[in-house]
Amino acid sequence: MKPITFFKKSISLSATVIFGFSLLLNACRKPNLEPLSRVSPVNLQYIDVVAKFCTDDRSVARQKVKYLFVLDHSRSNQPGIPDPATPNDVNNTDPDGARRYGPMVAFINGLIPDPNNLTYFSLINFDTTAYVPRNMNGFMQDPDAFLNQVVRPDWIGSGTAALPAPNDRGFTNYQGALELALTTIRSDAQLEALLPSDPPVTIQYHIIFVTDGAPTVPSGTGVVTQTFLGEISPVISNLMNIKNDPIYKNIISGVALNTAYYFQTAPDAAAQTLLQQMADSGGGQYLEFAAGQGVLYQSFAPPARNIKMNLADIWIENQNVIGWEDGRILADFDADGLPDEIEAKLGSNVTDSDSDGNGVNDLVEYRTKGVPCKDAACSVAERDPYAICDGFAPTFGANNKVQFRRSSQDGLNDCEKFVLGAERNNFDSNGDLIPDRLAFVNNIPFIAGTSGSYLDPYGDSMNQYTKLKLGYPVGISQRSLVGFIPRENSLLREKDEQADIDCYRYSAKKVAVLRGGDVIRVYLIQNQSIISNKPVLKTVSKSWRAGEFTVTFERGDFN
Amino acid sequence: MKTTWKHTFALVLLASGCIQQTERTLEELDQGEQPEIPKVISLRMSKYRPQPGRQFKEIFVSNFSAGVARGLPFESEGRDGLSNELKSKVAPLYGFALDGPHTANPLFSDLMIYLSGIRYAQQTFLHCSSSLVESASKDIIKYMDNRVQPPRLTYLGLRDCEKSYLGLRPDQFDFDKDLIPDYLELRCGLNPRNGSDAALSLTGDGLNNLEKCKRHIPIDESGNSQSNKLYGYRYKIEVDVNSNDRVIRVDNIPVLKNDRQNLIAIYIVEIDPATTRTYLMTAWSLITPKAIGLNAYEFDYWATQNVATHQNQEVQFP
Repeated sequence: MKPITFFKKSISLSATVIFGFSLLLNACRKPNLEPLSRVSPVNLQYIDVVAKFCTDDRSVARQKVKYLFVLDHSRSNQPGIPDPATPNDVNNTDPDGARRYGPMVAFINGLIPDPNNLTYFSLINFDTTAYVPRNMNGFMQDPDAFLNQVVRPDWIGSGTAALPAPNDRGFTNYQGALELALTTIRSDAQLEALLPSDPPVTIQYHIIFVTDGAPTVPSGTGVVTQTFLGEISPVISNLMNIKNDPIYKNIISGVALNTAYYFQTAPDAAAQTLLQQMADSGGGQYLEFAAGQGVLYQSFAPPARNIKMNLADIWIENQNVIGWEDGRILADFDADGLPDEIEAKLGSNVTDSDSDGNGVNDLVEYRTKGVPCKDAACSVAERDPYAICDGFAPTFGANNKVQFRRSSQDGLNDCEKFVLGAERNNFDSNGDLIPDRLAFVNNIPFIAGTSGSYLDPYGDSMNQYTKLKLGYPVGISQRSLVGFIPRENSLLREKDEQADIDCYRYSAKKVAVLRGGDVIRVYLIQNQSIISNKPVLKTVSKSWRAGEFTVTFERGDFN
Repeated sequence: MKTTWKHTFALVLLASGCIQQTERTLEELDQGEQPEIPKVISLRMSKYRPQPGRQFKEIFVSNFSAGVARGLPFESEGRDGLSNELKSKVAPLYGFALDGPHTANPLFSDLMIYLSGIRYAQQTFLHCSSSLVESASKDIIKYMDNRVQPPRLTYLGLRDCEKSYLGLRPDQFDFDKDLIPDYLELRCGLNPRNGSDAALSLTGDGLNNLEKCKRHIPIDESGNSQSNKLYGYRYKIEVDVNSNDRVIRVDNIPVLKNDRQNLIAIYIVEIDPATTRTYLMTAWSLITPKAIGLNAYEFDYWATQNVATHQNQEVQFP
């Protein structure tokens, strides 16, 4: 209180002084104080948009099950030689391969083809070292080819079809076998990561590790036994970590190491313990097969699954009405995201989203270079060639117009995505569930590693995400908007549908429109409910006819 | 259903003294759509204080036995996130029984099996290592279900074998770090591997999915619908400035009436701001409204510093 009293005493004498002061203050502040208040310069009308749709049925969430058989080819499979080098192995466990290969053939032949659970196969052998059998390369999808080209020749070995004699010799190197399994899975995952699939397919690697004894390996002139903590567990932890690798985590749903122990007379307790530990740390199952029993591969098979799809988010956009950077709502005839008024100033074509025809639309060029075309006239001759996109296989239309594929559904083409630094095969590069094009046009961060949709830069208690949902221009405080009506959204679940799919009626009331022919676009984002996280996008567009009060999207429109 | 004075009187009693709410309840009755109005109770937890060095982050209170969806009350006898209605509907495919959270394979919950779509015949192929039958992150509610004889040890949550099958981490309760424990995400229809979905507002009503999950408003229903305004849980947190203790009150929890048991689960998430690591404290209670005859249940926070286990504590009321 004191300073104020003092202030009053000393200055209240002269009202003129105060007046002068306030004038001075005002003069200083005035340029900064001008409110960013926008009345829409165009004549908006408001319509209702109704979208009726159902989530996809479960078949969309497919998986690949990739079996990797790892077979013991140590000498103890064969009869005749009591081998001092492998004292823990019980001799003569599987001389003709009938216990190892017979049930494998039966298992693979018995698999019922299921389009939602695709199966693949691979085989690794191990004795003193681990190796890939003849004709085996990565994983094979065709069960007959796998059986005839790989399994049967490997089974027959040095014998004949009637009297097979698998090549069994040497020691039992678990570590080597697991390391080869790791390499095989890694290189397969690398290939899979390069081939994105839509709808998404995740991979379950399923190792079935089959052995007849403890891991003995030669060391110098003697023999050592590999231990769980020493040699085995580190490789298993590498195997389990593949699915946490950022490159693979979206395509691999799981890696499981199952172990099978087949013995002839009495089981070896050390082998039992070790194989149990391996299955435990490998997220798999351990099973034993006693005297003469074949390895029951089907006991290790993962269950077929059909994951439920959930609705993740819905967006509705009028592609011809833009909330421009300065907060104004402007018309955009060619739906390139650059409003007509701005295009007129910049000299680009108001009726062509890619005025110079170089395959990169006007807004992308404007945002990345400050101009929609290289030259003021937007001529084809002078345009930027975007040679860096030549790898995306452009096609050429009339007037030498370049066109690129749209690998993702969000509306930006491959070259535009590349130029912007977004992910070509992903409609939502930063994973915030706002499709890239929608975020880009509205100046919301969309590149991987950036976020901003939950920020409230204008301090108006409404984040960017909500503004976009309610149809507000995001470049201005909602409190400074004059005469703009936000949307009213509602989602209704329709009753008495199947348990596996959810059907909805989404309605957005008061969606701003300008002119007949405005294109209303609905973005539907679904995600798997569990196991995998790969949202999928569906988009549908319809034109609004002047005079109509409602644009309705029926269920059939989304198929 | 016609409104009578008797009803009105009962409703006034039920609505824990809130006049405005009583009026709304009457309005709903007049439409004649509601077959049964659920009773609602309140929980009031005193003396809550985060562990030293941590901050309070989230609280989730759930009645696992009952809820309201699409404007209608439902019961979940298995207390597992699947309503009796849904479970019976899909039972031919999955072989579910109503009375517990697991059916054919005791290590895998019906909820997980339903979402993953593992048909009955395929369920025998679900295997679990012996080392993965419990919960490393201790985010599970484990209790004796005494509705069956002999009482059955029951797990509500994701055991380690389920987490490892689902690609989640057994040592973590919140894989995607969106502050909703994985199990509650599944119950709410969210993806425990997607860290963005908690902040979305699917219906565009301004309430985000985390708030809805917490308040038991289905994420695909508008928070503005009459039934969700009536039966969404309401949280109120107060701080006692002298002791720095908090009082957390949760109102409007729909319960099964009379002598039916309700399993109430409480999850509290705390964060260590220095390491950004999150911690989970859980408790549960079986409430039989008629036996106790209360509408407001008061208790003191369970995880005080001299209590050895902060998870899976049973809370009892005097």
